[in-house]
Amino acid sequence: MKAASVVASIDVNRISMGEVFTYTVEVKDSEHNPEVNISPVKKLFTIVSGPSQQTNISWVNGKMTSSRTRTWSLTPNREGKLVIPALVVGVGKQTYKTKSITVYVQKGQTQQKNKDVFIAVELDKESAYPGEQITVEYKLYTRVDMSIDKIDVPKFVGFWAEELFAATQLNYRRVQINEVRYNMAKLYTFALFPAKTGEIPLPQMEVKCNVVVKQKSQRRSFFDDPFFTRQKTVPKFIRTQKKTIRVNPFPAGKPADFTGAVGRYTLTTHVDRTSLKANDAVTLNVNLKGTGNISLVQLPEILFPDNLEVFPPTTTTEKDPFRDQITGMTNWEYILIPRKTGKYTIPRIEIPYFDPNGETWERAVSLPIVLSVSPGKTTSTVSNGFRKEEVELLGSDIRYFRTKTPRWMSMNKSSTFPVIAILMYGLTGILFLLPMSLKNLRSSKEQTAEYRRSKRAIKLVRKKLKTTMDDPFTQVADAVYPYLKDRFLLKTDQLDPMSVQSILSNKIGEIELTNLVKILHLCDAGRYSPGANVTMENLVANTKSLLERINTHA
Amino acid sequence: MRKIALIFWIVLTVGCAQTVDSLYTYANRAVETEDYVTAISHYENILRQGVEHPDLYYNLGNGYYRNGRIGLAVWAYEKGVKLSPRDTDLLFNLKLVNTRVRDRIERPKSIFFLEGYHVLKRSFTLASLLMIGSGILLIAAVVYFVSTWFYIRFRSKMISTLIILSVLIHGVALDKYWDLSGKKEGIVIPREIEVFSAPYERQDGVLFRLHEGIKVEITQSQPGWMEIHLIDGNKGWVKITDVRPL
Repeated sequence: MKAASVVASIDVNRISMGEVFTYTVEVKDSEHNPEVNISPVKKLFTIVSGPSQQTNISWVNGKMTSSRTRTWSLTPNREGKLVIPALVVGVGKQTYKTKSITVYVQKGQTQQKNKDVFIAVELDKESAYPGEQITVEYKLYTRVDMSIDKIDVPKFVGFWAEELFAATQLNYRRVQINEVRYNMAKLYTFALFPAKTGEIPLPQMEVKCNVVVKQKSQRRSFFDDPFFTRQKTVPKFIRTQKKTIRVNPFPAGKPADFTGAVGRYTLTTHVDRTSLKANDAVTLNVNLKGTGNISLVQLPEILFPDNLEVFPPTTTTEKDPFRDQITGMTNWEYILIPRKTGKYTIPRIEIPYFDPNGETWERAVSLPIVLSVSPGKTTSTVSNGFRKEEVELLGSDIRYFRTKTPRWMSMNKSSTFPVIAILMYGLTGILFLLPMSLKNLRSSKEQTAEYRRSKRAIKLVRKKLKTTMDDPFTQVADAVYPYLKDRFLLKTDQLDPMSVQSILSNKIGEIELTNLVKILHLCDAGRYSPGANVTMENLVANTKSLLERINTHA
Repeated sequence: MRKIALIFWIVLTVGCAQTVDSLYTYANRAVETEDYVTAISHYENILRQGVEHPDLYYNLGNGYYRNGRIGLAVWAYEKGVKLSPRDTDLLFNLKLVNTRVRDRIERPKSIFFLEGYHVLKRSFTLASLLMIGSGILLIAAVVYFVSTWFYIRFRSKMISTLIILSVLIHGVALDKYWDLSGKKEGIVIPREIEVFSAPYERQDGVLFRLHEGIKVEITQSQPGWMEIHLIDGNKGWVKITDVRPL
């Protein structure tokens, strides 16, 4: 295997400031890509692009040759004889060193006529106030055929930038500069608004393009003829000139509420209706029209009246794209809901701004708007934890003092039982109990059939025992048993002397009971055993008097 | 001896009544000149005499409100509402002053009819509930009494309905009585108070803060401290001077 060789080269060694050259490190006959530490170069040169990498492998007569390259585009940082130092290149595990290369840098050619291709930066003004618009135009001038590969649009540090124009294709116009004819095409237009004061450098734009150059071919034959002229495209880097913008501080008299609006503005407010019902929504449009840094203008806080619910605004910004000066309008749309009836005044809104043309401080002022709100439907909207009725209460006042001297109440007395209630309880009791006791005495007993039967019982006895019959025993039994049945509510099967004695033992006197039982026994004996010698003097009369006695005593 | 005491008591009450009336007049005169501090001191003086009235609490609440003392205004109105639960002016001012109370503690939602029961219970005093209950009972007794001599249609239905109604009202009255005897409430008076986890002052023991005007339930007390209970269930200890009991 052949040993690898490393060679560093540049495409031109005599350049002028601002021009770009290529620096190539090539490794031959190696399987590895070269690893190059480029940092020593950065002192004297700026890397415009790179590294780019290329590998070529070819077979010639059965022999393989390979070349692997790394390419950078460099531009010098200063004039004079500059030396690209020897670089350490790592290939695989081995390291190589390249030779140092000398570059001669001439003074930058400000005379553009010598250049085939260049980009001009055109500013409409060199100095401005913060927030004042500066229009920057980038124009491409060329004398040769070329195509643009890549444009690096710089980041405009220290500015608020808005793109006004960006070329999608190159539309050339023929122009003459110092009697040299060029094709000119507009690349970009930017509106820049400085954000700070002082000297602000305008960053440079870099364009990579492919330039067609005529190659002088070796004279080989008589066919050497312009028709066969060989052409070659060469990559070229173009950089714009360095420029700085001077940003002046504002003149005196800056208003306290200045928020950074610079230009010329008019402010208008508009509501979709001025008379509405409570809890209905109304749209308030605050419209700022004018020329200047309109996207940077902020609306000051509007002091809306109380009881007017305000929803955060939606902002729309429209710009007029056909002008180099940024012109447009910003609209803030508020939704307002009055919660109470009455008149609401939306105060006038003021935006202070600086007019850079007249170098004066101005104010854009809108007119106040009066909304008249009539009572509307009550809706139960909840806001910040208050119920609807409470929200209404928030605006009202307490009811006024009472001056009439009251009848004072003792603190202890007020908690005790009310006297009238006690009286009413008493009366209730009397009213309920009075009829009840009367009933007990009279009607309740009177009205029962049993009471009446028992009352009647003695009358039957009297009736039955009025006359003395032949068989006194049957007569007495017929009178005594129904009497006992009715008077003492005995059942029919209890009508025998034994049962009567046991049941009535507590109800009537002892003497009466023994007499009664004796009579009953006598009757039974007299009735059912006629042979028995049973006699009883005055049985009927005795029975009658006994029953009368029992009736009254029982 | 007893007689003398009685005479003394009568003289005292009559004397007090006169001074109370004049205090009330002075206070109302102070209100006319918007001297609310004087008016408040007179009104509070009347309370110290041992007499009260819804109107007095109403005026006292108004005075405190005008003086910017939301907590004390709520306290006075609540006291007035306790005596006269359906006084529209008192209820309006209480509601209004409650919107100025910073703490908004939501009562946990209860069942609809239970809510109605609470409203019923709140809008009558114990005395008036007893009056209504006994009155209905009396009507029932009158109907019963009359019916013993004269025939009345649906006599028993009427009487039983009235008695059931009366029993229900007495039930409400009993519930209210338990509430009054068992439940002690108070109002937070200072602008902001700290509620501690235990009855001693320690900064790391601060559970939460309450602001003037909020109603709390007093569950127990210790020397210098009382335990409070909020309607949303939070508990804690506060200094006894921070809460004025209702």
